[in-house]
Amino acid sequence: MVELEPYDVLAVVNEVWLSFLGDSVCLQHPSQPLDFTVDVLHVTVRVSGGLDAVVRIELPGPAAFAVARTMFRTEVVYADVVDAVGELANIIGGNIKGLLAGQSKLSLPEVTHWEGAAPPLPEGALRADFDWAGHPLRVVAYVEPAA
Amino acid sequence: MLAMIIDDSRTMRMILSRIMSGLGFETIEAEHGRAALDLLEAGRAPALCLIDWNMPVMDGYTFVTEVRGNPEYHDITLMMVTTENEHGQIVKALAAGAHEYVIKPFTPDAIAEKLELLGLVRDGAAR
Repeated sequence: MVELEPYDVLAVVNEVWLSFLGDSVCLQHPSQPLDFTVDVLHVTVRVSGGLDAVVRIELPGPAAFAVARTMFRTEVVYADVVDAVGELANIIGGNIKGLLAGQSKLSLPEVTHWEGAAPPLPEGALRADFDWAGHPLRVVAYVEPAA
Repeated sequence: MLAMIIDDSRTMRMILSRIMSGLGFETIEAEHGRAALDLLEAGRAPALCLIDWNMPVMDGYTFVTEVRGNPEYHDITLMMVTTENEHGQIVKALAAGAHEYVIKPFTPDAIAEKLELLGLVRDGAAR
């Protein structure tokens, strides 16, 4: 697997955000941790084939609603939010997949609601935190441990 | 001119519909390849289909092969709009009969430029 760096992920997320939300994101320094423990949407896409990997974006509820409102240009309901952030995760996951070695397939996005401390990440996982218009956003990517 | 937007994401269908309307197209939408084939079989006749690859029920690649296998649909222009960015997948879709390939994320200008190349919008539509 190609070693992913936070700036690789920044480039992907920025391109997606500029294309569909009209604004860029700022990479947060690890010394400035953001709060991802309350009312968080986890949107996961899985890469399988050449390697098995997970790409997940995490957004607190208000950030997810703001994303969907910006994309739809109107007020939204929860189903719109799930669809909008699912599509963003799909595009981010697809572009990160392109940075990884080997031919592989991308799953459809899976959205879950998360409360509390984030699940522990496997060794070597990349975690990059961003700020978008005052909203926190996290992208996690890792190769799945062998079963 | 009618464009059919085939994508399982309502958000993406809305974004593409907004872009296509701005380029002067009327649009209809389908959430997967099977639903799109149903619309064609019901007599809807788009000049152009914008097609996602990864969708439930019937994916975009299968849709392209089904459409290209039916002479009645010979005149429909097919453009993939997808996150699939591996060279092999792009070649596979074009070999199956897709005319153009756009990788997500895209800008409205990127879509307009492809449609200019296909002769479906006037030159200069992309700014």
